[in-house]
Amino acid sequence: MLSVWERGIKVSYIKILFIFSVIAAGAMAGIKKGNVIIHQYQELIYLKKTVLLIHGEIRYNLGTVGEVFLNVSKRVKEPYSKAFKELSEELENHNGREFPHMWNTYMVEAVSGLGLSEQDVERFKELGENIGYLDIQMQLNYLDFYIEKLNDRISDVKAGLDGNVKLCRTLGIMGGLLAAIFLL
Amino acid sequence: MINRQVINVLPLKIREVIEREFASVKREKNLCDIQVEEIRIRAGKQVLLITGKEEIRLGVTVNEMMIREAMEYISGYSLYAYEEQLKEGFITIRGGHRVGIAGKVVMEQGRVKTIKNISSINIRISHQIIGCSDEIMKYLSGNILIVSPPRMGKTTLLRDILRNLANMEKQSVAIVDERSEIAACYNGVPQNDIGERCDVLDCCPKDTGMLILLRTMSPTYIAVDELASSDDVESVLKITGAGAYIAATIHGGSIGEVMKRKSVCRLFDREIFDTSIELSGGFIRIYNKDMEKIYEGKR
Repeated sequence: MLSVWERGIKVSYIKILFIFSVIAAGAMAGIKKGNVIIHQYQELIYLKKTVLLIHGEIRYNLGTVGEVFLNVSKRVKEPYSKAFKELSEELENHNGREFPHMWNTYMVEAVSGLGLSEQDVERFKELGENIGYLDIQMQLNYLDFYIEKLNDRISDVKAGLDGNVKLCRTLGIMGGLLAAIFLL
Repeated sequence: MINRQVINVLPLKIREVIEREFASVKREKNLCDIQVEEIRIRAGKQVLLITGKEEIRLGVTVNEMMIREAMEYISGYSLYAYEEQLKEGFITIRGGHRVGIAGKVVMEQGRVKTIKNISSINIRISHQIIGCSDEIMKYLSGNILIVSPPRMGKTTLLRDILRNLANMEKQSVAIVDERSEIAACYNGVPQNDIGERCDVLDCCPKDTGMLILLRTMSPTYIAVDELASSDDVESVLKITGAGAYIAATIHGGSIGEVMKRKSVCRLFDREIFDTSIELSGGFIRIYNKDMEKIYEGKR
């Protein structure tokens, strides 16, 4: 049988453990949110790299979009690689579907799962509506325009990156502390 | 029979009708095979299949959407990639089949910029006839010229002559395939049989290509399809002067008619060709350097 004094110590230990757990959970949530912002920034950078590859393939090789996507698929990571390859194969099938629909099925679908904002995904969708249209200059100009917009977006995310990540982490820890105080 | 690569660029609706009606035409006429040479698609008209002997009218009227769909397939959803070819009024699709296009021409500074509002598409189906030159190979030597009107088989004959030449020991044949119709390269690999010792410079202008191949591939023969411009003629004179042989085709009703043509008459003045082949009226005639007939046969 535990004495009253011993029981009090045990309850205090449990309380301390509980408080630390709550603070740790808050901190983890903050760190996770911060990492989401870092991940989004990295994905935007990778998206830009991918679009630059498309730009280069069109400018240098002057291939059809099917050839361009097949070549790009060999140089990018998943899920882009698989999506570009499947889109390139579908383009060969000539099954009556218009290009923007195929772009949405494969590319937009793949990009949607990368944690980018809705606005980023929407802009990527618009890119597919103009690929293959008119002459080479139009293609390159439109890709340049898209890359410019992407650069602006990357700059915005980068500008707030350090502050936002720090804020998320601090808020997480503070939130944990606050929750612990309330629970006490 | 229509090549699968050709069927694949047709709009879905036309594909369905071709598959359905083609089978019934074959049944009605008791034919086991029909060799289609051309498919003509004109806005507002019925699709026509041209065989060597007749026209087959398909029960489908072409609309604007069908033309647009066909152009998307023909260009691989990338008209921008065919800007230069469009200026010439044609696109070559996989397999070396030539797609002629007519519509509204857009001019810029006195030159054709592009063709828009496309209203007619003519798909000329390329046929590879392996062995069609076997019988005449013994009559051929030195520089070779093939002359014939359109659709008489110039390119088919040239391809087979090149195949035979490239299968001979110590020969090295180099082709400038400006319109991808001879070797029909796809992703760099020839889709037609052009022999063992053959190099292809694909999609390169003839005049430039001949000189590049002369310098880089040490060919015994350089081959080009459809000599036409004075730049082409200049390059032929340069390569033949440098010791390589030329195998070429020229559009024309007869050799006599071609000889009078201003752009190419220099080749005849300098007696460049050792063998001239004329395809006309179902006959093949071969002439030597002195323009004496050394062979005549039915095709």
